[in-house]
Amino acid sequence: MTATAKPPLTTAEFDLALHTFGSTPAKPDRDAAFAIASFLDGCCVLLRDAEKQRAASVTDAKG
Amino acid sequence: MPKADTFHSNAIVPLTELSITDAGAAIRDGSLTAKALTRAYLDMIDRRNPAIRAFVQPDADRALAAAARADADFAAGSDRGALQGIPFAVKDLIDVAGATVTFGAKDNAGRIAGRTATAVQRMLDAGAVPLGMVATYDLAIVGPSIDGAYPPARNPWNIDHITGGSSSGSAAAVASGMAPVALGTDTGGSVRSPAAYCGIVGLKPTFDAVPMDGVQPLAPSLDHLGALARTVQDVAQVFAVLSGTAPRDFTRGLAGVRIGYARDWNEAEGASRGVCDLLDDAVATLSLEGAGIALVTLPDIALMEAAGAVIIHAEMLETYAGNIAGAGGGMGRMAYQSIIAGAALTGEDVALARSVGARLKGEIDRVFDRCDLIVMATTLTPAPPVSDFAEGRAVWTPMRTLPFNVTGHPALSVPMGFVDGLPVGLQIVGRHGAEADILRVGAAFEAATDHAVQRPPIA
Repeated sequence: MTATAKPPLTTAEFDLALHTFGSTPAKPDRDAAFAIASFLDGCCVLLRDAEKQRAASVTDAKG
Repeated sequence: MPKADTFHSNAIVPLTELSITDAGAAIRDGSLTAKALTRAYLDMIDRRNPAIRAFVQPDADRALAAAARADADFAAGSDRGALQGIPFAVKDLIDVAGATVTFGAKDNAGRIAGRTATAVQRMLDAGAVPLGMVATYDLAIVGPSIDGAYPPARNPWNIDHITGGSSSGSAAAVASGMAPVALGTDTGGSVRSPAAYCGIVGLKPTFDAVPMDGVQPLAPSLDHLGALARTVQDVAQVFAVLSGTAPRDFTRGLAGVRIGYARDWNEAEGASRGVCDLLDDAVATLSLEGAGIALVTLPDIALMEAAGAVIIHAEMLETYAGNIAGAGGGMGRMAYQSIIAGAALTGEDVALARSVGARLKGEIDRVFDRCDLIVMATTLTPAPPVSDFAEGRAVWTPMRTLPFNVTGHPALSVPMGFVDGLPVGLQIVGRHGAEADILRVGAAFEAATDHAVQRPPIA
């Protein structure tokens, strides 16, 4: 994955997101869920980078 | 006339080994009854289910009553087609009115379905005989887990290895001879990966080809309903009923068929060398059967899986948003963890994933301009050991299934051979609506090899 402007998901951000769903997991569940959430965060970085590269290549092609 | 537990033609064949076509022929010529066939499967359930745990609610009364109706219909001259009198199992995620359907979740213990899913109703209308409900992973999300509604089903080839899922009981029931056919669902590979791990055939049809009403949703834009059986022809006959389409002739050989080989999708961390070698052998076999083979380059697998992962987690959170307050109550821990993991995804993230998924679908459609089908491995390893999941956490296993839930292309897994004594699958992917094409190639591969006639070493 290439670098992007958005920093990786933090536990504080994840806890805040859980709060909006009224979810207050015990620590083992929260830690396991955060590991998956971090993977998803990486997926989003990959998707954003791919779209940026595609947009750039379209621009290049148009000259 | 032999109506006991074997069928005599040129050789003595146990009734539970008959294909749908052969069982149907025997019933129609009067040498077998639907009731005798059903009893043979019920006996097999009694014998094998204690060890395999595929059936969570066998229903002998309902099955024998349906079999008696099928026999009575035949006697009255009413023949509703290939599935009349043929037993089948239903994944515990699909409603059957009056049956206990829990979605594999403890919270739903004792839930009695008040309706019958359209897909099941089509099977019943065709005269098929429901044997009962078979296991799923907890909410069809993740497993095997030890805190679902029941202990996980076991892989008939080696009970120390997982079945794959979430159609775990569907695959285990068919592979162990307890049902000739089972219905399953597939949101990220849940029909195809257990079919591959258990050495049977699994079809995920084109998105929307089979109605999903009466099926507990997981991620509705990715959910599919499919079938698992021991042979391609059996799966094809079930698909024709499920989709309300006429059975097609797919026994024409492979002359003129152009197959794209997505070999670069094998290259992944954790991929088994044995699976890669079997895939090369499988492609060579297809070539010998007359197909033209060309290497094709598919979109970046990491990008496809990223789009799928974001969509599936966003949609499963939406499905279960009302169930995750507090610490998740009685929900299984792995399922709960997977559901809440999507909490930090934004609407922008999900929109981007959908946009990329749509673009990648277009790229794969363009690959189909140059070939009729694409082949690859279903999973990149055989079934992992159950002990890998002992920590109670989800373990990532490399597969090549999720991309086709994102794109909606039909995909078939057929037995491809064995690695370390465990079966693996060849995945055949076609254009939207081209189930007949992938079934044709699957049938040709099956006929050219002996993988589909192998049976697990169980008593």
